[in-house]
Amino acid sequence: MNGSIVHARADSTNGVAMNVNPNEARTTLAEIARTQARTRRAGRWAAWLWLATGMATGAFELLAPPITHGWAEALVTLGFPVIGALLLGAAWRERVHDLVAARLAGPVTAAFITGVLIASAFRFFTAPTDVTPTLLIVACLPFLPCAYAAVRVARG
Amino acid sequence: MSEDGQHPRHRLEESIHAPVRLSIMAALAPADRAEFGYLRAALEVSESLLSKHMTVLERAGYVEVVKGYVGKRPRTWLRLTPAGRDALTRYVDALREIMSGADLTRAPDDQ
Repeated sequence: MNGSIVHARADSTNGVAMNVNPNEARTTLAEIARTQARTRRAGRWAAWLWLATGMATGAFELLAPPITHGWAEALVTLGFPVIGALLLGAAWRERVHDLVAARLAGPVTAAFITGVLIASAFRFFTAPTDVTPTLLIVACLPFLPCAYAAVRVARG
Repeated sequence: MSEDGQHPRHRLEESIHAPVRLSIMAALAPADRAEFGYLRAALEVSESLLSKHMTVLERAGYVEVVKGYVGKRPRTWLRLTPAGRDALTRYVDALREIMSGADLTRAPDDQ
Protein backbone atom coordinates (compact mmCIF):
# COMPACT_ATOMS: atom_id res chain seq x y z
CA MET A 1 0.00 0.00 0.00
CA ASN A 2 1.62 3.19 -1.15
CA GLY A 3 2.44 5.81 1.46
CA SER A 4 0.42 3.85 3.93
CA ILE A 5 1.97 5.12 7.15
CA VAL A 6 1.68 8.67 5.91
CA HIS A 7 -1.99 8.25 5.14
CA ALA A 8 -2.84 6.14 8.14
CA ARG A 9 -1.49 8.77 10.49
CA ALA A 10 -1.90 11.91 8.47
CA ASP A 11 -3.46 13.67 11.43
CA SER A 12 -0.49 12.94 13.67
CA THR A 13 2.01 15.57 14.63
CA ASN A 14 5.13 15.38 16.72
CA GLY A 15 4.52 15.48 20.42
CA VAL A 16 0.74 15.22 20.24
CA ALA A 17 0.90 11.84 18.52
CA MET A 18 3.39 10.43 21.01
CA ASN A 19 0.40 9.08 22.95
CA VAL A 20 -0.21 6.03 20.83
CA ASN A 21 -2.95 3.68 21.91
CA PRO A 22 -2.78 -0.09 21.27
CA ASN A 23 -4.99 0.12 18.18
CA GLU A 24 -2.86 2.87 16.65
CA ALA A 25 0.25 0.86 17.50
CA ARG A 26 -1.21 -2.19 15.75
CA THR A 27 -2.13 -0.15 12.68
CA THR A 28 1.30 1.50 12.53
CA LEU A 29 3.08 -1.85 12.88
CA ALA A 30 0.99 -3.26 10.05
CA GLU A 31 1.81 -0.28 7.85
CA ILE A 32 5.51 -0.57 8.68
CA ALA A 33 5.37 -4.23 7.63
CA ARG A 34 3.60 -3.32 4.37
CA THR A 35 6.12 -0.60 3.58
CA GLN A 36 9.00 -2.98 4.24
CA ALA A 37 7.40 -5.68 2.09
CA ARG A 38 7.15 -3.21 -0.78
CA THR A 39 10.85 -2.38 -0.55
CA ARG A 40 11.71 -6.09 -0.37
CA ARG A 41 9.73 -6.70 -3.55
CA ALA A 42 11.51 -3.82 -5.26
CA GLY A 43 14.89 -5.26 -4.26
CA ARG A 44 14.08 -8.82 -5.32
CA TRP A 45 15.58 -8.25 -8.77
CA ALA A 46 18.92 -9.21 -7.21
CA ALA A 47 17.64 -12.78 -6.76
CA TRP A 48 16.85 -13.00 -10.48
CA LEU A 49 20.20 -11.44 -11.32
CA TRP A 50 22.09 -14.02 -9.30
CA LEU A 51 20.01 -16.85 -10.74
CA ALA A 52 20.50 -15.66 -14.33
CA THR A 53 24.24 -15.18 -13.76
CA GLY A 54 24.62 -18.67 -12.31
CA MET A 55 22.58 -20.33 -15.04
CA ALA A 56 24.31 -18.47 -17.87
CA THR A 57 27.77 -19.23 -16.48
CA GLY A 58 26.92 -22.86 -15.77
CA ALA A 59 25.53 -23.27 -19.28
CA PHE A 60 28.61 -21.66 -20.77
CA GLU A 61 30.97 -23.91 -18.83
CA LEU A 62 28.93 -26.91 -19.93
CA LEU A 63 28.43 -26.04 -23.59
CA ALA A 64 31.34 -23.82 -24.59
CA PRO A 65 33.51 -25.00 -27.49
CA PRO A 66 34.88 -27.51 -28.29
CA ILE A 67 31.71 -29.27 -27.11
CA THR A 68 29.51 -27.23 -29.42
CA HIS A 69 30.15 -26.58 -33.09
CA GLY A 70 28.78 -24.37 -35.82
CA TRP A 71 25.81 -22.16 -34.94
CA ALA A 72 25.64 -23.54 -31.40
CA GLU A 73 29.26 -22.55 -30.84
CA ALA A 74 28.52 -19.02 -32.07
CA LEU A 75 25.38 -18.84 -29.93
CA VAL A 76 27.20 -19.93 -26.77
CA THR A 77 30.29 -17.81 -27.41
CA LEU A 78 28.37 -14.63 -28.25
CA GLY A 79 25.41 -15.22 -25.97
CA PHE A 80 27.41 -15.36 -22.78
CA PRO A 81 28.91 -11.82 -22.94
CA VAL A 82 25.62 -10.42 -24.28
CA ILE A 83 23.69 -11.88 -21.36
CA GLY A 84 26.35 -10.56 -18.98
CA ALA A 85 26.09 -7.06 -20.43
CA LEU A 86 22.29 -7.12 -20.26
CA LEU A 87 22.37 -8.25 -16.63
CA LEU A 88 24.84 -5.53 -15.68
CA GLY A 89 22.75 -2.92 -17.47
CA ALA A 90 19.61 -4.08 -15.68
CA ALA A 91 21.35 -3.99 -12.30
CA TRP A 92 22.73 -0.51 -13.01
CA ARG A 93 19.25 0.96 -13.42
CA GLU A 94 17.63 -0.59 -10.35
CA ARG A 95 16.55 1.84 -7.64
CA VAL A 96 16.48 -0.41 -4.59
CA HIS A 97 19.43 -2.50 -3.50
CA ASP A 98 18.43 -5.30 -1.16
CA LEU A 99 20.17 -5.52 2.21
CA VAL A 100 20.55 -9.32 2.14
CA ALA A 101 21.96 -9.17 -1.40
CA ALA A 102 24.46 -6.50 -0.37
CA ARG A 103 25.63 -8.54 2.61
CA LEU A 104 26.00 -11.68 0.49
CA ALA A 105 27.65 -9.98 -2.47
CA GLY A 106 31.24 -10.32 -1.24
CA PRO A 107 31.32 -13.99 -0.20
CA VAL A 108 29.03 -15.14 -3.02
CA THR A 109 31.10 -13.33 -5.64
CA ALA A 110 34.26 -14.89 -4.21
CA ALA A 111 32.70 -18.36 -4.32
CA PHE A 112 31.38 -17.71 -7.83
CA ILE A 113 34.78 -16.60 -9.15
CA THR A 114 36.42 -19.62 -7.52
CA GLY A 115 33.88 -21.85 -9.25
CA VAL A 116 34.50 -20.17 -12.59
CA LEU A 117 38.27 -20.56 -12.20
CA ILE A 118 37.98 -24.25 -11.30
CA ALA A 119 35.59 -24.94 -14.18
CA SER A 120 37.74 -22.98 -16.63
CA ALA A 121 40.92 -24.75 -15.48
CA PHE A 122 39.19 -28.10 -15.84
CA ARG A 123 38.10 -27.24 -19.36
CA PHE A 124 41.54 -25.89 -20.25
CA PHE A 125 43.42 -28.99 -19.13
CA THR A 126 40.93 -31.66 -20.25
CA ALA A 127 39.51 -29.97 -23.39
CA PRO A 128 36.26 -31.96 -23.18
CA THR A 129 34.48 -32.74 -26.41
CA ASP A 130 31.43 -34.36 -24.76
CA VAL A 131 29.27 -33.62 -21.75
CA THR A 132 30.44 -35.99 -19.05
CA PRO A 133 29.21 -36.35 -15.46
CA THR A 134 32.47 -34.77 -14.25
CA LEU A 135 32.01 -31.78 -16.55
CA LEU A 136 28.41 -31.48 -15.39
CA ILE A 137 29.53 -31.33 -11.76
CA VAL A 138 32.30 -28.84 -12.52
CA ALA A 139 29.91 -26.65 -14.53
CA CYS A 140 27.61 -26.53 -11.51
CA LEU A 141 30.32 -24.97 -9.32
CA PRO A 142 29.70 -21.37 -10.44
CA PHE A 143 25.94 -21.93 -10.35
CA LEU A 144 25.70 -23.13 -6.74
CA PRO A 145 26.72 -19.91 -4.91
CA CYS A 146 24.48 -17.91 -7.25
CA ALA A 147 21.54 -20.19 -6.54
CA TYR A 148 22.19 -19.90 -2.80
CA ALA A 149 22.25 -16.09 -3.02
CA ALA A 150 19.09 -16.07 -5.13
CA VAL A 151 17.20 -18.17 -2.59
CA ARG A 152 18.42 -16.05 0.34
CA VAL A 153 17.43 -12.79 -1.35
CA ALA A 154 14.06 -14.16 -2.45
CA ARG A 155 13.30 -15.25 1.12
CA GLY A 156 14.23 -11.79 2.40
CA MET B 1 2.79 7.01 34.03
CA SER B 2 5.82 8.90 35.20
CA GLU B 3 8.11 10.91 32.98
CA ASP B 4 11.15 8.68 33.55
CA GLY B 5 10.53 6.51 30.53
CA GLN B 6 8.62 3.71 32.19
CA HIS B 7 5.81 3.68 29.68
CA PRO B 8 6.87 2.44 26.21
CA ARG B 9 5.45 5.56 24.57
CA HIS B 10 8.45 7.42 25.99
CA ARG B 11 10.63 5.32 23.71
CA LEU B 12 8.71 6.52 20.66
CA GLU B 13 11.45 8.79 19.49
CA GLU B 14 10.16 12.09 18.21
CA SER B 15 12.63 12.33 15.34
CA ILE B 16 11.17 9.26 13.66
CA HIS B 17 7.61 9.45 14.94
CA ALA B 18 6.36 11.78 12.21
CA PRO B 19 4.55 9.65 9.61
CA VAL B 20 6.75 10.60 6.67
CA ARG B 21 9.95 10.02 8.63
CA LEU B 22 8.70 6.69 9.94
CA SER B 23 7.76 5.73 6.39
CA ILE B 24 11.24 6.61 5.17
CA MET B 25 12.84 4.57 7.94
CA ALA B 26 10.52 1.61 7.34
CA ALA B 27 11.09 1.70 3.58
CA LEU B 28 14.86 1.84 3.98
CA ALA B 29 15.09 -0.93 6.58
CA PRO B 30 15.11 -3.92 4.16
CA ALA B 31 17.38 -2.11 1.71
CA ASP B 32 21.10 -1.55 1.58
CA ARG B 33 20.19 1.66 -0.22
CA ALA B 34 17.23 3.08 -2.07
CA GLU B 35 16.98 5.85 -4.59
CA PHE B 36 15.25 9.12 -3.75
CA GLY B 37 12.81 8.74 -6.65
CA TYR B 38 11.76 5.28 -5.45
CA LEU B 39 10.98 6.62 -1.98
CA ARG B 40 9.04 9.57 -3.38
CA ALA B 41 6.90 7.23 -5.48
CA ALA B 42 6.52 4.59 -2.79
CA LEU B 43 5.52 7.05 -0.07
CA GLU B 44 3.47 9.27 -2.39
CA VAL B 45 4.97 12.49 -1.11
CA SER B 46 6.39 15.52 -2.88
CA GLU B 47 10.11 15.98 -3.48
CA SER B 48 10.24 18.96 -1.16
CA LEU B 49 8.50 17.14 1.68
CA LEU B 50 10.72 14.11 1.28
CA SER B 51 13.82 16.31 1.17
CA LYS B 52 12.75 18.14 4.33
CA HIS B 53 12.22 14.94 6.32
CA MET B 54 15.32 13.35 4.82
CA THR B 55 17.36 16.26 6.15
CA VAL B 56 15.91 15.83 9.65
CA LEU B 57 16.81 12.14 9.63
CA GLU B 58 20.25 12.88 8.24
CA ARG B 59 20.92 15.43 11.00
CA ALA B 60 19.76 12.89 13.57
CA GLY B 61 22.37 10.49 12.17
CA TYR B 62 19.75 7.94 11.13
CA VAL B 63 20.01 8.26 7.36
CA GLU B 64 23.02 8.61 5.13
CA VAL B 65 22.56 10.47 1.85
CA VAL B 66 24.83 9.54 -1.03
CA LYS B 67 24.82 11.51 -4.25
CA GLY B 68 26.11 9.99 -7.45
CA TYR B 69 25.47 9.44 -11.09
CA VAL B 70 23.97 6.66 -13.18
CA GLY B 71 25.46 7.39 -16.56
CA LYS B 72 25.05 11.14 -16.84
CA ARG B 73 21.95 11.32 -14.68
CA PRO B 74 22.36 12.46 -11.09
CA ARG B 75 20.95 10.13 -8.46
CA THR B 76 20.47 10.49 -4.73
CA TRP B 77 20.64 7.35 -2.66
CA LEU B 78 19.51 6.94 0.91
CA ARG B 79 20.52 4.29 3.40
CA LEU B 80 19.87 3.68 7.07
CA THR B 81 22.88 4.05 9.35
CA PRO B 82 23.46 1.50 12.13
CA ALA B 83 22.10 4.12 14.58
CA GLY B 84 19.01 4.45 12.37
CA ARG B 85 18.46 0.70 12.38
CA ASP B 86 18.76 0.63 16.17
CA ALA B 87 16.34 3.54 16.51
CA LEU B 88 13.77 1.87 14.27
CA THR B 89 14.14 -1.40 16.17
CA ARG B 90 13.57 0.42 19.48
CA TYR B 91 10.57 2.22 18.01
CA VAL B 92 9.01 -0.99 16.70
CA ASP B 93 9.66 -2.74 20.02
CA ALA B 94 7.93 0.11 21.85
CA LEU B 95 4.94 -0.12 19.51
CA ARG B 96 4.74 -3.87 20.12
CA GLU B 97 4.74 -3.28 23.84
CA ILE B 98 2.01 -0.68 23.55
CA MET B 99 0.01 -3.01 21.34
CA SER B 100 0.28 -5.92 23.74
CA GLY B 101 -0.47 -3.66 26.70
CA ALA B 102 1.96 -5.73 28.74
CA ASP B 103 3.51 -2.63 30.25
CA LEU B 104 0.21 -1.65 31.89
CA THR B 105 0.21 -4.76 34.00
CA ARG B 106 3.79 -4.36 35.20
CA ALA B 107 4.76 -2.59 38.38
CA PRO B 108 7.23 0.30 37.96
CA ASP B 109 9.89 -1.67 39.88
CA ASP B 110 9.77 -4.42 37.25
CA GLN B 111 10.80 -2.12 34.43
